[in-house]
Amino acid sequence: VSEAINKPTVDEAPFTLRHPGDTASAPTAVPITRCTVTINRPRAEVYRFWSDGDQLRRFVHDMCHLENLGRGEGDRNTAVDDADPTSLITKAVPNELIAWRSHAGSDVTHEGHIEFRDSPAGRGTEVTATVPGERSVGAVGEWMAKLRHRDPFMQTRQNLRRFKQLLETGEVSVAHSPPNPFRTPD
Amino acid sequence: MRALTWHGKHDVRVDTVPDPQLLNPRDAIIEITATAICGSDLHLYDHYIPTLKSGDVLGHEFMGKVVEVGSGNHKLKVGDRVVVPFVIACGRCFFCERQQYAACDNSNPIETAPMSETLYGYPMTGAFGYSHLTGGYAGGQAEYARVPYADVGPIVVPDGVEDEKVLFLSDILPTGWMAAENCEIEPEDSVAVWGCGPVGLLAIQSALVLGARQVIAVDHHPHRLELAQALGATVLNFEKVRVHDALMELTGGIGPDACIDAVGMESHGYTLDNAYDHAKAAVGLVTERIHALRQIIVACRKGGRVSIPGVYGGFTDKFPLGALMEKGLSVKSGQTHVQRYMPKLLDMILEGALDTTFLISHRLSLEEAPRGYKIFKEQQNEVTKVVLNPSNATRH
Repeated sequence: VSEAINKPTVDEAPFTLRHPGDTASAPTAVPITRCTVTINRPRAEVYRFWSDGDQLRRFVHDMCHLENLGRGEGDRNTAVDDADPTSLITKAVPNELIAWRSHAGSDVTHEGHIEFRDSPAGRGTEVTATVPGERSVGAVGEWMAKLRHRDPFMQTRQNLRRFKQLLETGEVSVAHSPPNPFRTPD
Repeated sequence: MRALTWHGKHDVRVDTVPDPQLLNPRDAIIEITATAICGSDLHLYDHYIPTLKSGDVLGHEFMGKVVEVGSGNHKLKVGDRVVVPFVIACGRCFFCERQQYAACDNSNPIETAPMSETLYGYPMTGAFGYSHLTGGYAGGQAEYARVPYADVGPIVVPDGVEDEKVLFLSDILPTGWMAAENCEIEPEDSVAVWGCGPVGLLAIQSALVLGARQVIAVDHHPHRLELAQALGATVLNFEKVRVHDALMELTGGIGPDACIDAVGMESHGYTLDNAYDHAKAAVGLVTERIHALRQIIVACRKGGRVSIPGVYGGFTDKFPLGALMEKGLSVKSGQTHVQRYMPKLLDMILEGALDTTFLISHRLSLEEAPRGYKIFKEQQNEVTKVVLNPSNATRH
């Protein structure tokens, strides 16, 4: 995955944003989803937060089932979900990148990496997550993906937004008080 | 506690609902001492804003006394009297640091943010009691409210100042002020304001304070025009005069330098284009009726400024894009960055430079809130602002 995204593309936009069906310009046969957020905190703090297993649990709900990331390259990570034994840090460059993939014995195959770089003009840190999978297309596709909780882009973006909220505000925004008996069920 | 809840078009009720609780460290719980019905609440009442759910607690103009403070909130203390801005803002994101609080990146929860992202390209900020597009936060037409990021939003007001003097800091006063500020008023300017509801009237007042030479008010309700006149505006009743021609006359043929749309998505007027909007809205082809905005874009002088505090939510048709471009108009709009304006406007109120209490026409109890909505909707001439008093609060 890491090598694939460094291949030149036909324009300057990330190739993951190509139109569906534009397989000619895809540098890899494996569909890849990327998602970027800017977090208004210094890069070292952002990297440290992602590397902290206790914190990771608070914002990564379904992206990779990892905890204890960031111990160092080659470390195995205890899975949050018992059905998902272990995963492996394949690369860790402090303040720049963490890559992982599932251990050979894992029930769930997953891999990905997250990059950290300074945002231009002092806007904090740009964080880009890259995971396998293709973004759902169109309203119907997104709706189906939402029902199945399978859209890698939506899942990744939600995780990154929680990450951003925690770093910037110290909490995850929630609206719901106890259930309102007068509310019609969804 | 008791709270005003939405159940469908023109169906709001006062129900007993669970008391709010602290959910996050920076939260506070406010016992509400005064709350108001906003003109934009009528868009919810008329079900023009999507993503409402039965049982939603409405209300985004409220103030009260702090009764509980989260562990991470080091600004407020129990007993403080506060006015709460309708926009919920974290205070720490890219946008909040630039005082664009109504663009806060974090206050709309993860679950609801994608809705407005689909509609508008980016997720909207969170807001109280204003559908699930803005987070589904419970509103303040209630005995109590949970206020998230309460170390950023609420402003503490001194004891001894009546609620009614400062209540409108929560929304309509900053909204009227920002509408006028967006006109970039210069001393010789004529500013025309469409809509003499509360926001329009406060925009008139603000434009005069900001130095406009002439402010022209457009409406059709005689009492509302009287209020505008009392503030110092020249008034036009659109049912009695041709507005465009009258504006030309009043501005020596140049046209108003700046125009404010304080009408929004439910424009009135017995005109062909409004009938067209009604017909298309009835079958869901458009969501907005923009007669006033069309008139504004045509009436504004060449190179002039258009300010849109009026609420719009979706899509429209027959928008005079040609006039906008060919005349070189500048347009500024947006939900109000309330937190940016509150301290300055509070000072102006305390100094006596601004008084907004003239707006209040009706004072009702919380239990009477459904009637408040009905009369605010149906008797717009007489009913200019309804303030609700949720006294005798009982918290369980």
